[in-house]
Amino acid sequence: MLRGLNTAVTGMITSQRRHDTITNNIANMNTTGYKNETVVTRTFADWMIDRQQRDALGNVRSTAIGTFPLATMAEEALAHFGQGDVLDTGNPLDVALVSNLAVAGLTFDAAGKAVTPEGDVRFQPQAMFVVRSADGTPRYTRNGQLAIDVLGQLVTANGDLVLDANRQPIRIPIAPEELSISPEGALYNQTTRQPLVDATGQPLAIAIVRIDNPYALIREGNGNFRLQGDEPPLVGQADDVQLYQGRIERSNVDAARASVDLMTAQRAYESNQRIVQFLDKSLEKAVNEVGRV
Amino acid sequence: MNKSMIQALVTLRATQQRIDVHANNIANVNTTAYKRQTVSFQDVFTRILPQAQQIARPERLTPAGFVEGSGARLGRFSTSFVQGPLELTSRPLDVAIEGNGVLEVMKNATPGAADAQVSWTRDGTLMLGRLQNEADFVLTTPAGHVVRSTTDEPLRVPANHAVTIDETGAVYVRPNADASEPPRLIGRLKVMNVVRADGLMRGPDNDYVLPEGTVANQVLALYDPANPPANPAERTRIRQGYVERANVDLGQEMTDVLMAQRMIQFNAKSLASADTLMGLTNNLRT
Repeated sequence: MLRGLNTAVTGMITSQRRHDTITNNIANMNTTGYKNETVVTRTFADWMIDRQQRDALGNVRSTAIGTFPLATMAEEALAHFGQGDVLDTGNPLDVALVSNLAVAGLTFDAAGKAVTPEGDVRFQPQAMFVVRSADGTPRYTRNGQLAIDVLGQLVTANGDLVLDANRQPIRIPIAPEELSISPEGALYNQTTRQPLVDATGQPLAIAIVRIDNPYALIREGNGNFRLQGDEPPLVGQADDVQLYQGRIERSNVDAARASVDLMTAQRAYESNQRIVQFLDKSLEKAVNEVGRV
Repeated sequence: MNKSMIQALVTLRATQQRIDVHANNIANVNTTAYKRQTVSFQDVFTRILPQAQQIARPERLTPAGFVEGSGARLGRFSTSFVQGPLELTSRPLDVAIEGNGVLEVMKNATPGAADAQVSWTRDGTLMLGRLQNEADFVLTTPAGHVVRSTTDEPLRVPANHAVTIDETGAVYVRPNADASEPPRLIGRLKVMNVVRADGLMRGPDNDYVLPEGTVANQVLALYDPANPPANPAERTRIRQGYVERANVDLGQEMTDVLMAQRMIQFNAKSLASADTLMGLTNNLRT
């Protein structure tokens, strides 16, 4: 059997995954707070190829020729956490996060990546809202299209409770038009200029947390991410994070780039399909012509 | 089936629904006091394709598993209660609500009717209607719902009387024949402040009803003109002789429709591309 046949098929599957991911990006071009994803591919475990021959005494000897990759795979779908455009909506319950978190001694490039003097790759921390999902565990989101439910609690577009700095649900006792939210997330009554308070009389603020390694976030749909491990800390006073009221953060999918990527994935699939056909033709020759008597 | 195809289909459906929402807003651009609806997209639940731990390499950035989304769907619908422009009609029975407020009305208000139902509206194009076995007229909405007073009674207007409604919603009547007679107070319009706009559901007659399981005092609060809010901008006023137009901005709606249309084109392209992939698979062996 020709080894290449398997390799070409894994190439088709990988291109299919890439195509699926790009399709999903295109689908979410207008989803608030959506982050574009790209597929990282790699070669699957290399195989060592040996040549086997008998020596003068008739013993089998193997000589290593080299490595041979047998397959390719879609390893992971990486979100690009770059800032999305901020769009003005005028709705007092829409909030957008604009963050550019710094790490001492590092300068991040446009892709949010930096290399330490030791050669380690670091990624820019991201600011996120904390919500409580239906199962009671925290989720993190950039989708700030909020609403007030019938119980007066601040919820996201899919009904998850938005949490305050103490990780408790936020109750808004006033009409949305009277609500004013500061760039740090603190809630005020616009008319009286007084801060809103929780049950214990402490001023209320929407929690904005700092996710130090954004790639530890696992996408769950509905704009939510799950984080394994410790609860992330709140952003500090010195952090460059701004919350804009009356605005939303749009998806950071680039339409032109997505179209080109879609074509590329399709053609890559096609190329692999052609290889399968060529190998099939070779096998046909081997079976029907070489062996003819 | 091809995952790309499912994603494109899910999204095409959501985009079509979004166009429907905008179409409904545009259709109601001339409906009195219509409040436009808005809706946003959400990404659909994600599937994680499992990967064996053995193949995880130290260079990889994310936890094991290949994460795949499933397109976009519509998220929460919300009604924008932004004030619509007021138009002067000079018709004495037209009232427009300026600020946050809805009129409480009652369907099938004949006393003793079993199927009486309370709803709320901002459509103040009032009419004179009649209840069964009553000589006086009552104030109704164009849909025939009887407007309630603060005492939950209909507002009864005797025949051949002129109606005056002041800023606080107090309704006065005076005989047409005798202009010298002082106006007589027959009641106040029951104006409710909308506290939780998301707790109201659209009714069939340009009105709002409560969804199942919601109580009125969670969503609405009686507006008391005797104790108005300190900020003049937050006061609710009744304007006689005006109607409130829809708060739909045609330019905005058309732009949104255009964007949705482009999104449909884009997803149709994804669909065509996914179809090509399937075609290629089918033609592996020709």
